[in-house]
This record gives sequence, C-alpha cells and structure tokens, in this order.
Amino acid sequence: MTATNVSQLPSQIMRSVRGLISAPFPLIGTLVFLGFLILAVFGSQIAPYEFDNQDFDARQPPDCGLGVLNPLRNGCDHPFGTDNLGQDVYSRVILGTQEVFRLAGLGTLLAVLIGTTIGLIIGYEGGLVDEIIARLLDSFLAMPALLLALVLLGSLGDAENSLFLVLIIVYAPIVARVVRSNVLEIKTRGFVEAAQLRGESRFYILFREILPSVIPALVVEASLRFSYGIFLVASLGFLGIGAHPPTPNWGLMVSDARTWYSIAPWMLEYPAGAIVVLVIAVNLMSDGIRKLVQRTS
Amino acid sequence: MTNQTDTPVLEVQNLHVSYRANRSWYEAIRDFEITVYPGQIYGVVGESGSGKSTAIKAIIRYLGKDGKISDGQIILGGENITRKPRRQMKRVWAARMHMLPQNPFVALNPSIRVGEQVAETIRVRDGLSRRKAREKAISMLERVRLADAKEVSHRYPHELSGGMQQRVVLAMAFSATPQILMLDEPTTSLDVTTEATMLDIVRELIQTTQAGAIYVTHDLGVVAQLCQRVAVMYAGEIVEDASVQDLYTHPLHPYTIGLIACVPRLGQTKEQAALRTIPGRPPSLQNRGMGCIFAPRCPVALEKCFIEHPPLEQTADGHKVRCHRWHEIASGELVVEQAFQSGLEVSEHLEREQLLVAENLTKHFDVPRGLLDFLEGKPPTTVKAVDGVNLGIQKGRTLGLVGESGSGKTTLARMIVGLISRTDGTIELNGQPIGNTVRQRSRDALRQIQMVFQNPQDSLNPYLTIGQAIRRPLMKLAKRSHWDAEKEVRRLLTAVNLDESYVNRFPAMLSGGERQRVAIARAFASVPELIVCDEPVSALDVSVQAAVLNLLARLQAENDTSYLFISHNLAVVGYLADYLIVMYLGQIFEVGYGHDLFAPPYHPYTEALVSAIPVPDPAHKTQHIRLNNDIPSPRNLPTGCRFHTRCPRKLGAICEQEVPPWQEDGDGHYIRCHRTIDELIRLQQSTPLPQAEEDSSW
Repeated sequence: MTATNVSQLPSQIMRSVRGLISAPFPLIGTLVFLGFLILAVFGSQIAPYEFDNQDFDARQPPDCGLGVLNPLRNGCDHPFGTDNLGQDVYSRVILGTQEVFRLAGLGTLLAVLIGTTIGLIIGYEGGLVDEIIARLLDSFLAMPALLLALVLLGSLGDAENSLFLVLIIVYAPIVARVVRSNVLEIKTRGFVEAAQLRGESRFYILFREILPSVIPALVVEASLRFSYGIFLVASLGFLGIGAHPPTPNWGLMVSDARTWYSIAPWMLEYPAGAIVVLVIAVNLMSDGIRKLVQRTS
Repeated sequence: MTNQTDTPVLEVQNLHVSYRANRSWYEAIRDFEITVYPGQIYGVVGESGSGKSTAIKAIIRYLGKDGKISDGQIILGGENITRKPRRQMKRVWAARMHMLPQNPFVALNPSIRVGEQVAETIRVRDGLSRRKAREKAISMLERVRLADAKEVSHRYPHELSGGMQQRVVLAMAFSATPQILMLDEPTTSLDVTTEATMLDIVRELIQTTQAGAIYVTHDLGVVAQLCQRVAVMYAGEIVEDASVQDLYTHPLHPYTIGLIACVPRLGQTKEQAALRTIPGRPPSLQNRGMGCIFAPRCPVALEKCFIEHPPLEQTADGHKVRCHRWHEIASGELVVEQAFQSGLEVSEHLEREQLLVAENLTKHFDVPRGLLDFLEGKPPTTVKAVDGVNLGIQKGRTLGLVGESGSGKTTLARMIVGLISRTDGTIELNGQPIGNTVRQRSRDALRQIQMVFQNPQDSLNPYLTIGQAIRRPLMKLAKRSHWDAEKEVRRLLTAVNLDESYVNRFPAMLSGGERQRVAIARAFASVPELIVCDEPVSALDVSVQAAVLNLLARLQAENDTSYLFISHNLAVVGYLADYLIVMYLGQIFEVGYGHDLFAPPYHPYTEALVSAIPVPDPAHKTQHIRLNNDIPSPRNLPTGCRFHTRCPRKLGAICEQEVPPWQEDGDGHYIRCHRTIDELIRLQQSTPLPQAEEDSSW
C-alpha cells in the first residue's frame, strides 16, 4: 500500500494491455466495433452504390462470395448480391451501419446523458424527491422495452425523432438507476463531505466531485445500452416502425427479405449477420471494459 | 512459560512464502520461524504490509492461488503438514487448527441461526445427535460468556453485535479441541470495552484447553496484556522474537525500540514531549535490497547494514534478534534514539475565551416504520442519538471527545460542522449564532469550521490531484487568487512535512499517513478557527499515527486553532486534549481536563474505559472492570441514569429511577453520577471490584 503505489499506475496499464492480449475476445470485439465505426463514418465513400440505386439487370446472387475487399473487381458488381428491387445489398448494409450508429448511437448517448443527470441528482438529493422519481423510473422498467417502444411510437407518431425519444424513455431510467446506486455510496465519502463543508454548489459537487467516480460504471453501462439500442432499433425496423423503405435499415431489410428467403437468401443473411456481429462485438467490448475498470479500481 | 519443557504444538522452521505478481514470483515472507507450546499465546506484531497475516495464512495452508510456500517446514503436533494435500488438510482444519478472522461476519453464515452453526460443526466433527450437539453448542456459547446463551443461539448473525459475533466464532473454534488457534486481529474493529472482555475470554480458553495460539495484531498493548512471547515482523521478516517481559524492557532491534517508543501512553501529554516517530516508509517487498531491510530507516545503521543481510541470532536467554549491532545495544554501549522533539509550550493560563458554544444540542432520528406498523397506527420510533448536549470549545485549545461506538460522538461532530441538521439547540461561533446546516451558513462561518475525516482512503477525491484538493478551499473559502493559491499549496504541503512535488500526484500514489497529511493541509487551507477531527489516526499504523499526532499538535500551536478531537483511543485523547468530555448514549457524563483521564476520580463509565485500555507494558496489571453487556440500543434508552445497566459502581434503585446530578470537584471537573466525587475517589483508589459482583450483572 505504500512504496509500491508510485510505480503502480504504469504497471496497471501494462497489466491491462497484457490481460487484453491473453483474453482476446474483448480485443476482437473492440476491433470489429471499430471496423463498423469506420464504415459508419466513411460509409458514403466506401459503398459502391447509393442505397436506392436500382440495377435491374443484376437481380442475382453474389458471385464473389464473402471477404471481397474490392467489390468492383472482375465484374463482381454486387458482392452481397442485389435485392428484389435490384438494390445493392452490400452498399445497403454499409449505409445501414450509418443508420444504426445514428439512431442507436445518438439515441443511447442522449439516454445516457439524461439518465446520468437524473441519477446524479436524485441519488445525491435523496429524500422524498428521490423516493418518488426512483419509483417512477422503476415503473418504466416494469414494462418490456419493445412493448413500451411500440406504445410510445403509437402515440407519438411514427417519425424518426420519436425514435430518439423512445430510446431515451426506455434506457434513461436504467442508466439513472445504475448511476443513482453508485452515487448513494459515493456521497458518504469524506471528499464529498469536505466539498459540502466548503459550501460548494450542488452542480460542482455532482459533476466535479462525484461524477468522475461514477464514470467507470457508466462506461460499462453505456456500452451495454448501445448494444441493446442496436437491437431495439433493428427490431422496430423489422416491425416496420420508425423506418420506411427505401431507408437502409437492417431490421427493415431483414423484414423485407423474409418473403424472398427461399429464392434470395442473401437478402436476409447479410443484414441479419451484420446485426448479430455488431451486437456481439459491442457486448464483448463492454465485457472487456468492465474487466478493465474492475482491475484498475 | 511453565510449558517450555513440553513438546511444542506447532513448529515452523525457515518458512519462505512467495507471491506472484506480474508473472514473476517475489518472496513475501523470508525465513519465518516460530515455536508454539501448549497453553502459550504467541504474539505476532507488525505494521500493515509487514506480512504478518500472510505468515499465518501460510501456516494454516490457506494461501490463495497466487501464493505458495517456497521453502520451510510446518510441523503441527509432530506431523509435517507443509505438503499435505488439500483434502487431508480439511480434516486438520476441522479438528486441529482454527482461525479467527478480523471480521467475524464473514466467518458466519448469515442465513443460519448461530446456535445451529455451532451445533453443525460439532455434529459433523464428533458425529453427535442433533439434540446433543445443540446442547453442547449452548454450553459452548456459555463458555464464551454470552449472556443468555440459549436465547442468543436462536438469533441470526446480523442480530448480534460485532463482539458477540466474534465470540460465536470463538465458540465454534473451541467446540472441538483445537491444537492451535490463529487469531488475525480479532479485536481490531471492536470497542476497547468489548475488546477487553474478548481478550479475557481468549486468555481463559487457552489456559483451560491448553491449546496453542498465535495472535496477530498491530497493537502493542494487546500483546503486552495477552501474550507470553512475541515475534516482531518487519517487511516479511521476523526482526525480533522474545518473551513479552524481555521485549518491552530490553528491546534489542532498533525497529522494535522505535515502535515501542511511538505508542502514546496514557499519562503522556503534548506539553511533555512530542511523540517519537520512525521516519521513512517500509520497503516494497518486490525489491528489497541485499542488506538489512530496516537499514534505510534505522537511526544507527552502519555501512555494513546496507550490504550484508543480518541473520536471526539468539542471545543467551532465548531472545532472538536480527541486527548486526545487537551486542552493542544489549550491553548499553549504543543507545537508539529517535528524532526527539521537545514538547509544546502551553501558556500557564489554560483558560481562554470561548470560541464555540453549543447549548442543548439534540439530534433525534425518526426510524421509518414498516407498512404494518403504519397501518396499525403505531407512532414512529425516535432514536435519540444526541440528547441535550452543552459544550464549549476555547480558542486554541483541544476538546477531546470520548465514547464507545454508538455513543453519539460522530453525530455530535457532524451537527457542529453542519453536515446534518440538528433537532434542537444552538451553536454560537465567536458569539454569533450559526446556521443549522452547511447550506444555511455564511461563507465566513464555513471558513471557520473545517473537518478531518476518519478514513484516509476516501477523504480525498481519487480523480483530483493533491494540488487541486488543497487549492480549492484556498480559492473558494479564503478567496485567494490563482497565483497566490499556488504558492500557498506548496507552503501547506511543506507545513505537513510533504514534499512540494506531491502537488501533481493522485491520492492513489500516497500512503494512508500521507493522505491524512494532505487532508490536514486541506483543512488548514482556509485558516479555520476550529477543526473537527473525527478519529483522524485510528486507521493509521502506530509509527505513522505518532507523526500525524505530532503534526496536529504543532499546527495547532502555530495557528492557534481549536480542535474538537474525537477518538476511542484514550491515550491519544489524553495526549492531545486540554479538555475532555465523555459521552454515553447521547449524553455527556463527565467533563474535565485532558489529564483527568490519568487518575481518579472518574465517572464509572470512564473508569471502565480506562481500565479496558490494553497498556503496552506487561508489568502493568489491568484493573478488572469489564463492561460485559453491549451498549444498549438508543431506541430503547434505560431509565434514570443511562449507564445503570452496565455500571460497575451502581448504587441501587436510585440509579434506575432518577437522572443523576452533576457532581463537581470545584476545579472544573464535573461528573454526572449519584455517587459523590469523594466516594468515587475512595472506591477507585481501593482494590478493584470483586469478580462475583460483575458476574451477576449478566
């Protein structure tokens, strides 16, 4: 506890790095996630076609198979094939990444921000305010996320903005609960009380003194929420809510492909595979983050 | 001592324990040897990180995955158990070896009644019938002096206090006839009064069963009062090993000499001399040098000490020591002196103007009702944590506040600083009334009262640097400019004996003692007039504790700051406090000077606290006043005098019916008791109470 502390920080990082290599799944998850992130950012440059570009001559199965880096090589115009409307599945999956990150990513981010703020405030204030709001949040959690989303979208109208609102309403309470339980423990620590004795404002205490100690738990929670967010957005797309053709929404693509599955299975396999791979990757990554955080704290 | 001729129950020779860190092994314990005879309690003393717990974990063969015994032998009752497979060890653990952990709660199953848990061990081990086992369990609980053992046996662990839980674990250990018992700081988290009782029980059980025991602790007082022989550990090695009398009267190792000198004695005050300290830090176990491990901190180290590792040598009378210069120390040629500082000068007139006056301070907590109680219309129960306390703190003086846990002393402190609101009462600072809580107080009132917290681990924000932590109160409360604050941070760090380079470090890089120094610097940053210190040294090691106490005393003298100093350690309070109040169940029972702790008259409660202190001197015979019951629940306060249920000097029915008056000795010493001061002096100077009388109290 004494002399070793000085040299502990760098060695802790080293240990984390070594731990990451010895247990490769979190690392793989992170790399795959980063790959999708690149697709999302540079999707328009990478995708060979527009998402609604129709090639009526080429309603055909992919003839180059997976793993083709340059889809235009050797006449392989459509590595993932085209769908019933002649749209390039490959381009639509890539552009769908953008869609997923925009909806699920932004939605989750908003939910985390709002949830964190609520959790910080009610956890710190305590008393009746906490009692009432915490129970209210609990009541949101009692409903299945998808059902809640359907009800909300039904009443809010089927616009994209409502989708953000749904993600916030579904996930902010969960994040708030996690943050609140952390705050309840942290606020009894000496450094928070020392800040109170200095007459610090609530804002300062919440965001400067308490928030940093919550962040490790929050990062884990946020990454987990993101993976559920992807799933929720895809599920809603599949049900035909919040996304309309010809938007390259993976859920919507899977839904459309169902009818054609027997003759054009690639239409379903690629977007569905994308969902699976991304969700698993994010989960693995959040697992790794959790381990990293536990080790260093 | 009489058992020296017997065969030893446990012999450990040349034990080396290695731990794995970062894929390489390092030696945590080197060359550990210990020989325990039946009926002997062997103390193992050391500061945190000295490897004392690791050593006994190795002996019972309960090291984790990352630890291994790399060399040596462990012989239990003639049988070598060093390499015994785990399955066979289980049988040894069940019947012959037992361990009492520091936290008794982890040793008990929370969902099984304690009587059943004790009975279960007996049933499994001895194959007794359910009823027989239960009867034996209850008799075991009686042997560890649990009042009303039958009733206690039906309770769950969480319904028992820490002291009672520890006794249940002890009952489990002795339900078989263990050959050796390992006690790993079993009383560290208990109050002095509970600790004293616990030590009595351990002493008695070891004597009657003739088991051997190893008692691991950091408390030199406990060792002096309990053990026959003691090994002193430092950085994974035994540096000295001797009989208790020998060790305390003629310590040979410079570390032991320093350690014994560090402990504040009851009767020592800050005016007499500063406490002695051991400068420096213990070395990291991963990279110990080739020489003596203590050499870097040793005041008498020679060049040789840094190069050559000293062996554990045995003197003529069985005293073992690991030092190159022990011959010189033994013959008296070499005197090991620590940095010695003279005491602080205190002006002759102790009386000064009052800085803070609190009247009728009261805190009642409402215990939330269950739904059923609510429906039945029961009124909510009120806990009177602090009940009508008056106190005054003088400018530049220290008011010591003493009491067991549950006496309300922390609640009182938190009301004064404004962290919790008060139910009733007024607080005046320099004649001006101040607001209820922090939010209702002016900036100036906040600046005047600061606090040092108990736990150094969480009193600093792990995500802010030391510089940021100290700068904030400077800018916020003292309204310094940024540039000015920067300079002041460095000055404060130097004032608390820390290097200026600490400005950019994070708390995780600091030791407990260093963190507490930073917390003290932060408290002094706003130049407050009063600092409330809530057990500031209780979480620190002995040698560090002395340095922090010296620091507090010096800073007080330099800044003319007042302290409200809370501690359960009476020697510490006696050392630092000018005035003293003793609290019990939310009320004050004695008010006096700090040195009133050193001689009668006492309030019977204070008397019990004082006599429970384990004095670090084996020649000292403790008075046998023991408070055997636990402190009553503040939900259910005793009538009359609140102390009557445990009072060793109880008069009779009057104590149960009438609230006692204040007795005054005419010199500023007040005692709240039905007995007069003269009566108390007479009683307390004569021989202590007969044993039978206290037995009847439970």
